[in-house]
Amino acid sequence: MRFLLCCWFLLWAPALLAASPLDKVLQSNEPEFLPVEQAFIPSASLSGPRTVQVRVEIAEGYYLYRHQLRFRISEPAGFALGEARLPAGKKKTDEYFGPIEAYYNRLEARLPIAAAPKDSGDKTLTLEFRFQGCADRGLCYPPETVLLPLLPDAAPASDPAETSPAASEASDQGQLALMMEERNFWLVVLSFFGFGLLLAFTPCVLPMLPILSGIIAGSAERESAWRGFTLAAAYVVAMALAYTVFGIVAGFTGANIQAAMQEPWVIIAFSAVFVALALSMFDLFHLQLPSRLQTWLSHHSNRQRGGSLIGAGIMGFLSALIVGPCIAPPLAGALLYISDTGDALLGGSALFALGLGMGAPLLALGAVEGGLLPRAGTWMTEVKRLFGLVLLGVALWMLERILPGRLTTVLWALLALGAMIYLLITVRTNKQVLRYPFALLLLLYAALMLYGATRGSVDPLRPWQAFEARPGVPASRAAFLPVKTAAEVNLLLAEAGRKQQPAILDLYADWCVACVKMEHEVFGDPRVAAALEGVLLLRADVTGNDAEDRELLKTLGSYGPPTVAFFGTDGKERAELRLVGETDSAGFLGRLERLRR
Amino acid sequence: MSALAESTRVVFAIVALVALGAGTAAWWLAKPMDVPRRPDFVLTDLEGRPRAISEWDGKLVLINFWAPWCGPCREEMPMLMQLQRDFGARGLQVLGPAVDERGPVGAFAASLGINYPVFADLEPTLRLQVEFGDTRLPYSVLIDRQGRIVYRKPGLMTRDEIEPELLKHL
Repeated sequence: MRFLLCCWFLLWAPALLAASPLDKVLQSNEPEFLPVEQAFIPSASLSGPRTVQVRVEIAEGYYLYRHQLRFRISEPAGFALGEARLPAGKKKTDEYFGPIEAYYNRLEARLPIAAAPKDSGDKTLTLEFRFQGCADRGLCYPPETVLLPLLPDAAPASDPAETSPAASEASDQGQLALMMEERNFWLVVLSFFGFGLLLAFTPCVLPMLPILSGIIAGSAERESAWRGFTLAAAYVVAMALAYTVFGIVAGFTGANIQAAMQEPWVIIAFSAVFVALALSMFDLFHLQLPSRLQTWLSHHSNRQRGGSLIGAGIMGFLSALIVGPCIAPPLAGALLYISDTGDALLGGSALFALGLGMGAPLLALGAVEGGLLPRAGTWMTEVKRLFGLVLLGVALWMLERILPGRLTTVLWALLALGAMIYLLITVRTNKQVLRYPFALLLLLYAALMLYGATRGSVDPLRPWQAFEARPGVPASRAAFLPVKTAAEVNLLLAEAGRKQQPAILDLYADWCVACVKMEHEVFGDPRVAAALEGVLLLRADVTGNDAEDRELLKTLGSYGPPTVAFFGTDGKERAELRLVGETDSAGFLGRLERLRR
Repeated sequence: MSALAESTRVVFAIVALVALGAGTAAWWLAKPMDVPRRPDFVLTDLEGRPRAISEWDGKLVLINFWAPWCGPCREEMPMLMQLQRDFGARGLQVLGPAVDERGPVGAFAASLGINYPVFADLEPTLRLQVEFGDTRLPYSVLIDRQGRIVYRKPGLMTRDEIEPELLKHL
């Protein structure tokens, strides 16, 4: 019987052999290259009435030549395009062409419509786009010409509902970049100063208030409002400069210095600076520049104050990069503009103006504080101690980004206890009875935090969470699926697209102040949680800013958190809905509603 | 097992062996039928003369589609020139149809001193590439002495890859 089975099997052998893919394996041992339509995926749209936006998704390891790009409106006749605004590509030296530029990963080009026939009506334009590219592994594609219909970028603009305030926020960074292209220099700079003023009271700037106050209170001389103002000015100008440098680097290379600064050693070093500042407020030691540097400074500036001005400047520069790194729409818009046009002058000026705008209230604070602070005496000592405490809080707040939640909760409790003990042991006269209720409050706070720490971590600004904090996620808040790589995101989105399920992708980082705030106030809002029913919720935590995070940001075309991308039931992003920067529940719900529509 | 089973066993064994033999033979016979013949074509060389592929019948022909604007193509050309020097006497003929106008093609060929025929005939070369099955560059196709396409390679080719193929068919 076994023999029969053998024979029966042998009968099939030739057929199996003939059908086996062995034949093909033997013939094609070379690495497969992608077909051109998979290596380069072009798309185009109308971005505003007079700008054509072309985007090419380029597969990994493939590139497009800048000098081989050609754009033309083929239908209807009579349209002419102006010069293409192309980002700077990767520089290469070609033995035949000489120095050339190549685009990897993604190309975004903008073209102004230079001329249009009067009677063009509302016919759909067709863009004829020619490109030519190669693969790193040694293959070139012949020049490819595609015809792309040009449809408006956003939802129909004729809908009156679209002009509501919530709607005009949409695709704001893109609109801002466009505005920069179309308006004149000073108008742009002035507008960005205005945007800065609007941003001045967002969570990204708030942490700077105690820092600047500490600098002014700790300054060796504090005789006037003018003194406070100049210190604040040094701080603010340096902060604006940091934004400018950050923006130009990010615009040209896509590298986010602010995120790169969120390394544990940077956080620890910067926290240490605050602890040192705080200790000097307690007169435990006197902070001074090294004497050689002081001599050099007084020699060169003829002013002894130079030192602390420069110190304030350094703190301003570092604060912008380390303390509150958040992407806001004007910031993203300016970065987009720089990367699109390579125009660092206007882009940088806009960012500088933005930084100055954000800092303007700090100038007022500096002057007021410089003027109000008592000249000398016990009062001043008390004020300095208070700022010392605040600076310790700042240091602890920064360490929260790298320390486990329970540990920081305990540290907050210890800080409160320390403050209480200080209040009690320094009571000298009977007039200081007011201190007792304060001390009691601090004790209560410390007890709450300690109790909370036994059950999980507690937000230091919401000590009452000690009673509600439970391990795990409360039912009434939006629960996100954590994702990491771009491939993972694409897979999940494709899956959602198949199931006709809308999706959102939230970019989050512990160091992003606005993200943390939105986590509480937007995603913690039961109304938002209800509205998100049936939506696939993806969250990429980019706190570590590692290679995969950067890759994901690049794929999304984002400069960093906070960013929320909205995907329709077809699995495609609704770019006009993309949320960059902080928003509140109402703004978020408005976007969700438009996504559902 | 009975005596009948004994004879059944023999029958099965014979049937199995015949089937195996027939299957293998069919596989080997079918294989050469898969190998397509080269199309006939005529291209214009750098001097403006039309040249037909039949001119090189009986030789092992390596057709290398290229263009001056294609970096990897330029990279492999010195290797192709070396192949022509090394195996030309044994019957290898390299041909270089270019996907570009005659001006840039001629200038580049002259600067490199290419030692095999180069053709500059943009449109017909593109159509020919489609016939050969790939429009990407560089694209190398090996045609044996009987005019059969025996090897194709899109993308940068190394000497280690092509030399065994040449030796097989020379």
